Amino acid sequence: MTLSRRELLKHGLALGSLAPFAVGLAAGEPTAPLMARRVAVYGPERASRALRQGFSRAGWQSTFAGRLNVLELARSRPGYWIAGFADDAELVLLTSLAAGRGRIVALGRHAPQAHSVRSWKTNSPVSFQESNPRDWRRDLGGLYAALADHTPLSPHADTRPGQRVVAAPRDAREHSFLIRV
Amino acid sequence: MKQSDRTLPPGVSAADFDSALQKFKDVVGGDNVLIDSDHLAPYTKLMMAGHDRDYIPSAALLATRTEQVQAIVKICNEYGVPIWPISTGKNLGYGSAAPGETGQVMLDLRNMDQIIDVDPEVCTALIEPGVTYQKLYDYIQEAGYKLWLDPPAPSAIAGPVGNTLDRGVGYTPYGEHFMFQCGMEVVLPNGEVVRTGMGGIPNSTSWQVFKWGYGPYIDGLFTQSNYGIVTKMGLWLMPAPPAYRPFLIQYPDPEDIEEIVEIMRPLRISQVIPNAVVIAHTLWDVASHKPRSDFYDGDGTIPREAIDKIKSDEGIGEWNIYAALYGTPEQIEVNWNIIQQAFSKSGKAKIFHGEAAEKASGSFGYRAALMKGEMNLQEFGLYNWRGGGGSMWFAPVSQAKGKETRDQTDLAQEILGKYGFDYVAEYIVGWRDMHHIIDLLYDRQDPEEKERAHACFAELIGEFEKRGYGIYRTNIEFMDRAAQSFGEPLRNIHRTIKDALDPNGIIAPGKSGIRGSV
Repeated sequence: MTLSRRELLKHGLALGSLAPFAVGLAAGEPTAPLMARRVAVYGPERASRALRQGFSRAGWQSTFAGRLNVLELARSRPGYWIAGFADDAELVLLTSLAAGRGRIVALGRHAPQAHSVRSWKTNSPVSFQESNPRDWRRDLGGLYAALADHTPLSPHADTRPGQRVVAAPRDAREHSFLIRV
Repeated sequence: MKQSDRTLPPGVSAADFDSALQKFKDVVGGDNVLIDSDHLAPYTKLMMAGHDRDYIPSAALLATRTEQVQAIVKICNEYGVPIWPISTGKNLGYGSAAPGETGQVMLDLRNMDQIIDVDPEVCTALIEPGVTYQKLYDYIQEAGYKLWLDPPAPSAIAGPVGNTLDRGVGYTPYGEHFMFQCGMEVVLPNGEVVRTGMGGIPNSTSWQVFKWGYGPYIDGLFTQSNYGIVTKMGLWLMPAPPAYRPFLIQYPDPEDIEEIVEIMRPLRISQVIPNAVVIAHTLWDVASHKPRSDFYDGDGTIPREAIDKIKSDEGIGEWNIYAALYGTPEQIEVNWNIIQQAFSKSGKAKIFHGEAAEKASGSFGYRAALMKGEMNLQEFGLYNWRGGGGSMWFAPVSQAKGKETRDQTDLAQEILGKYGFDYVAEYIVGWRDMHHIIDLLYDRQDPEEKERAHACFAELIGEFEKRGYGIYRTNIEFMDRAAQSFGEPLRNIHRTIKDALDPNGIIAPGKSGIRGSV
């Protein structure tokens, strides 16, 4: 697939799933203010729906943004929260693109009944236990909302990470993320 | 912030570092000095088998102009702060965007992304480090120039400057990137700016067309090194040919690599096949779009029976050659006949082009795109082969001789097998050399597997070295070990130059195993 900007615009992908947040950000208009408590959720639809429920319960608004498109992220304007699920390849691309343009607030690795969430924002280990095997993504949404709510809006927050990492589950293939672009 | 929680540059006190940070902010602005852990997290994402604690940056600086880089370098000299420059930060599998050592400050040039000039008549470009292949591609398309790029596999998100300075390769006739670089602007460790080649002459019109300049040719000093920070680089662009024919040749058996190379070598040297050909092993060919678990669930190296099943199920060869012809339709037909005759002699090769090639291989589409300089990210699928986030490129060089290629393949498979890893590999064929690119994929989240991957990589370097095979590029965990392979006389020269240019050792200490005497 040719990924020129022309092609993306032609297929309406340049604004992509952040279009709801991009209202008012059309060419020539001023940049929107920081979108507090609004998050674009990426990943498989079913998993994303559950994550969004978790955010909703914490009072956040969310939009389903489809499968992760890291090139779209690279073009997005600053000040947005994104969260969701990615495979190994997508995670490499995502964390790579975040350098210099975003904050990785949390990354998670998930296997059945085994989860490891690492946050670069809290000063305590991020423990995460699923309340119900079927609801863990919703629980994760709640956790991520809580982590995001503790994030100061100032870009010069004076915190250090709680980088104690719970042993990552073996063979975890599902990765979650919370990033402020 | 507790002092004990801070990561400081080695040998720099907290007070001095705070002073340096304030001066950095005065140069680039407060928003472009990153010290928060969540901002620095992307610079700590490793794929290699090293300890995370060994690669924690103390800060990251985002610069946009040469003058800022000069000012930063002067501050670093004043306070003894080491910096690790990156361009787009996509050195994936070689260190990514991580510093060479804990405490170094990242000098991130991704926002220094001006396309200064593209000349469609002499087919050159002059760009800054933050320019990505995608940005340059868009620029050329929008200008309507008939010029092609030569991206490496990370294509859209990687940048020509960073890839060229690490002497990376692509897949078109311009695949040997440093060969097609011409002229650079460099900020030296003392803050002075030098323009190499013909660029030293004010208003030079030949800076991007004549590589050598006058006197000693110094551009190579700034590749895979820590002697300066490149802030502009010239490169040559390939004119779009009238016609293009990508093709695929499949061979069924492991030992066929010898025949392949013996046939390919004269075709490459004579430029009948002009591009950087890829000879992909079964596992690389399938791993770009399918996970290992689709074929094999066991631990340890994927066994021969499973590889044979992959070949029959997916309809791919043990060796899968991706190459292309460029030129007028008449030129292509002449060379196509030569190729078909050469590869048909033994009866083992299956030769495809056009729709047949697309049907024969799930990788053909993305390979064909890369061989004409078009962007795609499909090769990132390799990271889903085994999962776990671990990837280290082991990249020895061989002559383009069949026996040597076979020897390297067997040795690599033996060592990888010993440690329980898969041979996910390809050869990129130069004119007379082969880049043997092996992706050591492992689960980085498993401490035992990470240690095993580390030991495996170390043994690969050691055993290949014993047979006279050196590597062309490596990750930051193994830079020193790789440098040892090339002997002390060369290291002494590197050190001498480092002492002369960077007596305070502030630019990327340790890059390619190069440090100053102090």
